[in-house]
Amino acid sequence: MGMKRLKVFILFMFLVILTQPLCSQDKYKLERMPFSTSDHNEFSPYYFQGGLIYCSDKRRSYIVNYTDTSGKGQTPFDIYIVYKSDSVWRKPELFPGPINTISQEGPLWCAANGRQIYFSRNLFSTTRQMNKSTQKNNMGIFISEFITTGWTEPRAFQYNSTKYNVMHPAISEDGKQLVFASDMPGGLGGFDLYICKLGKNGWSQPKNMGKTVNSSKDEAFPFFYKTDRIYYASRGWNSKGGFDIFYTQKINDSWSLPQNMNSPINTADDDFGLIIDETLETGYFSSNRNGSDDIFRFESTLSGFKNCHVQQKNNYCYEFVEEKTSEDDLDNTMLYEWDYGDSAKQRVISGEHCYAVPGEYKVRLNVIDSLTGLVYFKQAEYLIKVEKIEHPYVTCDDVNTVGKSIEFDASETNLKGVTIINYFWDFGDGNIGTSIATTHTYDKEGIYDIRLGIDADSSNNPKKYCVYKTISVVK
Amino acid sequence: MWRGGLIFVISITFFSLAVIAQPVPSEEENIPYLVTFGKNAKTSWGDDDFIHIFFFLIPENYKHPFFIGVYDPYTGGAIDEINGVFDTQTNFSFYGGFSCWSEKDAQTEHPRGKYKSGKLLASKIFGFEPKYDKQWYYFGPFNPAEGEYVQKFGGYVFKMISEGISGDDGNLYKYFLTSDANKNIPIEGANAFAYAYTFRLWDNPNQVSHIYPYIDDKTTSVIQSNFDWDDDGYIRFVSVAQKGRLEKVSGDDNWASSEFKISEEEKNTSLDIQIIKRKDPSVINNNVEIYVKNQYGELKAFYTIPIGGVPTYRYKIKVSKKEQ
Repeated sequence: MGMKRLKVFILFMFLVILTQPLCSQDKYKLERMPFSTSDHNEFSPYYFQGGLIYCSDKRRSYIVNYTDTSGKGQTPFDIYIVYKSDSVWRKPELFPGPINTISQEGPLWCAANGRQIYFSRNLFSTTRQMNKSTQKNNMGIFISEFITTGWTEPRAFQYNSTKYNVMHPAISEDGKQLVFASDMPGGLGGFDLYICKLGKNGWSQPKNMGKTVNSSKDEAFPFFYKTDRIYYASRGWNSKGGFDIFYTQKINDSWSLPQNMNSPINTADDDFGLIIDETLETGYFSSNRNGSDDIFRFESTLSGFKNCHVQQKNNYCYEFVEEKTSEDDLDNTMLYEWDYGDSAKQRVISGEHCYAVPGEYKVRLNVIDSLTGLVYFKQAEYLIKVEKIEHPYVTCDDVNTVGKSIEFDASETNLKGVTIINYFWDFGDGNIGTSIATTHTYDKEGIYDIRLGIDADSSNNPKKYCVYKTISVVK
Repeated sequence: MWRGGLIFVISITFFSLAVIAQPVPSEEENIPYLVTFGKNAKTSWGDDDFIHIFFFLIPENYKHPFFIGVYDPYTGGAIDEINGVFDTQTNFSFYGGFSCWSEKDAQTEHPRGKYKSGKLLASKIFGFEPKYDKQWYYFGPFNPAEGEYVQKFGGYVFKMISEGISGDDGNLYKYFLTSDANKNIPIEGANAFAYAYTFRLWDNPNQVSHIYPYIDDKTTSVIQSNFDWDDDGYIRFVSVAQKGRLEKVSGDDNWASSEFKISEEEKNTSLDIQIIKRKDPSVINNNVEIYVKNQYGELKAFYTIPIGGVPTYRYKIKVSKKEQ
């Protein structure tokens, strides 16, 4: 091949690489955690104080025996904790306090900023209770609080039952939704996911998450991501075999059909107990693909963009109050007129206003004395700068159709003081793209996280930015 | 104490640079007239003791003679409040010298005992004398050094007592501290104050009257007491930290009190007590008495020229993004 032809070929290949959509590739690379063992089972990791919590036994297979317990004479699953020091995982230790007993414990979920834990445990956790009870020692959820002297004695979740299992708690980021797995009567088959909402009187009655989440087989090991996504394991749906990991997204107050995490997360073996970081780029899960239950770390392989955050909508809406005035101040004889600086005015104590476009607006507070009727103009002023959020911005439809071309546009991106060099798109189905505006067609319905990465330059200082936006694709 | 006194002197000195007029009541107060009833009047007319004490402060750097003018000093004519026939005599007596102010009985809401302390410099009884109708009568001249020197005020203090010695009519009048025997020429830096204020309200309901007690740095709360307000409207406290707080108001011929907590920001400033009438044509002809005490039961002086200026609440806008 002559030099000129070689150059043309290289240029051609370069253009092919930049043409969107580009070829599929493995979305994640995996790493088996060094504290996983071949002889024992380790599963259900959970982030805790910079380290990881997980469940482990010494002899038994988790999947076979976990809920089939009399609790007598068997080696229990306990909760362990492991920390990393200088990039090396240290020796795991039993979780402190009165959490671990001779019965099964775990998985575990932290709430209330780490000062409260919800975890699964057999209902009867002492030898005396086990010997005394004639009922099946089902799994229940227990709650413990951290106080100055350590973790309190666990108390039982109000919906535990001796007639069925209640386990695997997961709580939304805002603390208002609790999901768990149960084989209580009335489900769709095997274990189903149930959800409770926090009200004035505590957790509401559990409600089956329904046919878009649960199948006729087992669903368990939920992980609540923020407030509107749940990762969980299911033996049903389009599982490759055993448990696969899926996620469901809450869209317009309804939970979507599950999206399979696919290879390399899912295999023909049991894959379950996934946790994921805020950026959706790294996390951990359990799998028995190597024989015993092990814990794996996964990391996104796409485009080298880190710390991708969920795209926020530009918000031009503000609340206005007079610093020392409250709505319930009965002594307040002054009424307020808010002049928002864009020709809008409002006569209320506390104002609310949404600006149509970004800009600088001078807000003025006029005061009306309700006793004398006098109006005092411009008693206070405030210069408000209404700006677009400074981050990459994905413009596309939220709901799309399988087989139809979808437009993705990054031109609403707002990054100050930098020169944008490249745009990278990750369409969430293994395909990627470049250029400021692009199109992509999905061949399967599902929930997709669209990532937009941007390479930029700031005075010869390279910078990377990344956001993601979740869309749904329906038939 | 020393620090508080220093601040007080500084405040007065500072303020004296701006003060150029000395009518009592002042323009800032927007009070039409002071009032003293004859001793035979019913207290339900708005004066509970028929004696009104006012103190006048002459700055120590003022070395010239001064006079006290009394407007419409007699009882009769269009301004005063008649009860049957005009038969009231009012004694105006002016005091200086040691203890004219420092005597405790002089600093009181209910004058008793030695409230006529000090040296009597001048006095005159006014009965029904139409020649004084809407006219000024001037007491003086007085030598500033004849007053009681009070270091924390930075000057000499004199005392004017008006006392309804007979009759049952209301004598409505005004004062003016002047440097001239025949006309009102203000004395720069002068001030006037009282510990209990008895005054006439405007008949016009759109007029708002003000009185300005000074709050020193040892005051943590004040109790306002008002008499014979007849439930005719509102009393509102405004300060640098308070945009307006309604206080209890009295009915006919009785007292009402309420407490007002003082914030750090309000110390060493004046309060603005606003007297606001209901917008009702029937609310006319009202006289009211008011005083303010601190948490120790000590009376706080009302200055006709508010120390530190008229207190104004500074509105501040707080803005936050609305959660979506």
